[in-house]
Amino acid sequence: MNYRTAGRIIRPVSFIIGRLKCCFIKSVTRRKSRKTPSRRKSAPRKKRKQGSRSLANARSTKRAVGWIVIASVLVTTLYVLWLDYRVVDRFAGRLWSIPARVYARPLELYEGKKITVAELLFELNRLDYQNISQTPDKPGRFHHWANHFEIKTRTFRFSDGEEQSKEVRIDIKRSTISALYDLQTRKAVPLVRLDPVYVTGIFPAHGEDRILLRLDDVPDMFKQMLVMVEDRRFYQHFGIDIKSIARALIANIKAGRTVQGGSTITQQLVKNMFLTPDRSLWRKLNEAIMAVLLELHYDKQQILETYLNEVYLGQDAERAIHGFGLASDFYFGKSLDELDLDQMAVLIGMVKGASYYNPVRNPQRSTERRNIVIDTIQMYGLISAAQADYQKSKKLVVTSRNKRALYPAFVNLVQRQLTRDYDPEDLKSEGLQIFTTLDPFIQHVTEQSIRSTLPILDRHTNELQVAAVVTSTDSGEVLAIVGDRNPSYAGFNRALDAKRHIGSLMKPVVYLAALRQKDKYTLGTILSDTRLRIEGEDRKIWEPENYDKAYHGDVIMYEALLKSYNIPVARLGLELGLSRIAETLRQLGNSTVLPPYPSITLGAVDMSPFEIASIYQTFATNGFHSPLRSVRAVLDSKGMPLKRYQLDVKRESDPAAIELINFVLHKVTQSGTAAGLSDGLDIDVAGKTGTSDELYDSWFAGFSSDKVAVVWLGFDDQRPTGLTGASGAMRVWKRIFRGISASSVRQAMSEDIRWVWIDQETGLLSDKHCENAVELPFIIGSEPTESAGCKAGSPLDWLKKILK
Amino acid sequence: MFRRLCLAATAGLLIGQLACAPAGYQKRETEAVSEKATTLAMATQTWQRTSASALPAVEDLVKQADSQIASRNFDVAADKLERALRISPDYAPAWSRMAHIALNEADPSRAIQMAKRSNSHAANAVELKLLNWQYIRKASQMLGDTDGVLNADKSINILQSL
Repeated sequence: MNYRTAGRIIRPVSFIIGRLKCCFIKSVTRRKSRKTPSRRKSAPRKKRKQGSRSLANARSTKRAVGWIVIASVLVTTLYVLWLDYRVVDRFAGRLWSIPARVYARPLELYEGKKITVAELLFELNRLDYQNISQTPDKPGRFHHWANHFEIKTRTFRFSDGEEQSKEVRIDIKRSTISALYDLQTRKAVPLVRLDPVYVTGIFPAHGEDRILLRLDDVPDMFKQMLVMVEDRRFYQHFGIDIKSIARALIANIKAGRTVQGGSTITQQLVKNMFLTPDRSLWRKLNEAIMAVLLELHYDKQQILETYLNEVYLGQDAERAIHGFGLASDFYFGKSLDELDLDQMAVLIGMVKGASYYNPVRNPQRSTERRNIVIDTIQMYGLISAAQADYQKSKKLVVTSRNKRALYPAFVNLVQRQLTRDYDPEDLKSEGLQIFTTLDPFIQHVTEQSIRSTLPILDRHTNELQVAAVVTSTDSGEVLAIVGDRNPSYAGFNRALDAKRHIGSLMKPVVYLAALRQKDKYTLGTILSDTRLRIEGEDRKIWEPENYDKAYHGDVIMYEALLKSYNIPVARLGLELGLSRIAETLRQLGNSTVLPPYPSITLGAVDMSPFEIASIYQTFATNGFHSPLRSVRAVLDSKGMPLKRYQLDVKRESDPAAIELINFVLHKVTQSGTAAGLSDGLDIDVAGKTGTSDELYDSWFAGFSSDKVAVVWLGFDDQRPTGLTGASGAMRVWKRIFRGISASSVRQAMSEDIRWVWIDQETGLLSDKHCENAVELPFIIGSEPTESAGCKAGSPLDWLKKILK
Repeated sequence: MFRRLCLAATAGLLIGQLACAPAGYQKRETEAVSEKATTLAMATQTWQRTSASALPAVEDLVKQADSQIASRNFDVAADKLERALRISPDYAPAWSRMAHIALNEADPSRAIQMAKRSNSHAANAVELKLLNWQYIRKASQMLGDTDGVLNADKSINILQSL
């Protein structure tokens, strides 16, 4: 309690004590002044003695009673003042701690957008849009047939302004929006933004959640229904309603048990906010006093608005559903102003017993209660009998979707990124609105790909773990994250925290470090794939082997990366030195401190899938590194922008050298270690498999022109998985890309690149018809100048080359 | 011929204006506002002239961004441009606008990166590349990066000779 609030109590109390003291002193003085003459006039001594004794007794009793009365008045006054302080103090400050609300990215719809019918239906379903059989008349509804949609979107406030509700028609042809126009004017609409999917809240320990409503946002019909059912004389009484209490008392006496309550809305609010739910007389007395005090300080509108936001309306695991705003969203997936009358009646009916009349768990009881509410409002003339019959005939339909945190790994990332700028307590209490980059459909596909592939890869143990990260290539936005084989398990987030050997995923980094020296290295540079033995300072011998256990002699860099040979890259790494590799890694956006071992060239370095996604995102953008981000903007509880997390790009790497690497990574998916991707994917992608020693870890990192994804598989206790990158992680990766909309990798090279035919054995100039010739990109000025001569290939080779 | 004249005039105006940039801080406010307006007007003309045919959605967002830039609501403008770039990441004029915003928000390092990004997608849009190099030059000046200014001057000269 601070000085101001203490003063607020002490002042009136000291005033009352002062008044009482004053009265008491006056009366004592008066009595004293009367005492002397009366004693003088007194009769015989004995009689006088007896009389004075009884008089004294009477006086002391009177005095005691007086003191008791004074003390009682004082205590009561103090107590009422204390209650008054509680009421005023609570209402003067922030009424509730409002959890932050986390939203997914809003779906933007425009002509030319790649989207399938299933994807749009998924989004509308996640947004709880109601699928109806006619042109939608209210926001949050849509009509769908074949490849056509008619949607009435919801109004929503974003960081760049309010998106008004629109009624649009969308046609989808060959997984692309072919037409988008306004249903009223029939004119083309350039862009429509749907409201974002609610992901979760960041809740305080007590778990109370609510969506704050202003009284103006609440439909008049709802307010009238609520007052009619809960407290008909709300606008007439002063906090307590004597008539209602008497009526309830009679009804209860007649029934011999409690069948009716006489509590007003104000009393209910007081009970919910300040008191315990026990049914004692003492609690009822407090309730009544506080209700009157509340009415003395605040008007009916404020009380009703607070009631609408405070009332308890159910439980969702640890989350307590408070207020009609959240209840409407939770049970019906709509805002309060979108509800139909029968749905309003369900929510109002729940006030009597949120658990007992829960429409999800007790639909029968809830329907009966709904019908009583409808009958009540019909009885008082709010609706006609026919309307009541129609509303009662409606089937109770609630949203069955579990709205609890569905994406724990993603939310975990959001929280980590936000705690750099916000106090964790503010996230739980200030009602912040957090707009994230999550793409619910891609997240869904990623989860499904994991769920369907893991049982095939791990038939016996059910312990094989997984992590996956999907990002947007150009913006670095994180679109999906999974951190456990059970994607909804909120435990160890492997996508962010499992640091494992990255195996061959390191090779493109080493080769890039070499290609940055364009005068020294090209894709045609000959590398030696012969036995390599290195003795370390600790006298331990390091002798890398290829996966096929063979040596391939001289190979060009292109082939070494394509086939993921270990020895050439190890030799190259030793030649380049650790510092060059570390510098290249830093330019790709990773600051891992590399251990001083030659084996780092083969990926004996620990990184998380998230870090790998960041590195490969830089490859995918030809060297523009954007830090991966999961949050776009934060708005305050009133919808005012607090912070933007802006798009950031940084180009430090040599783009031409990255183009060369990307060319090979594309070839890897066609004829290299990831050739399995060429079958079943209808777009061109680029990527790299990764397998750590003893098959502990199976990796695949790859990208299309617009998306990057990394998948890791392994056991937590570092047992061998028996899987290579291609036989494990790549299968999950492939399923993800088969399920989402993505565009082929860009194959056009910049003007700094020149295509040259070279001989694969010598790395020297060749010609397209020559044996062993391959066409490779070179940074202008780095291409070979000497010719290898030409050995004509067999007609069959020639034919093969043409077909290729 | 006319295109060359236009190009030379635009470049001349921009260079003249940017060369005086350090002195710009001492100018009176009215002059500074008018200077910004001129720069913006020229930049907008360049953006519009060099806009490749974009999707209607991108055009719409960029148009909204332009009006926010004109009102100096840079945060909202950047939001609109980011939305445009999510739809069409290769749209060079949008990246160029991002560079303009970064400069106005006194973030020269970011401006350089955005201008570079715009150039990487600008292909043969000489006028746009020229504008981006002006941004890089100005940002380098703000950073006190003499090499950066010289490098930008070199690129500007090459582009002007085209």
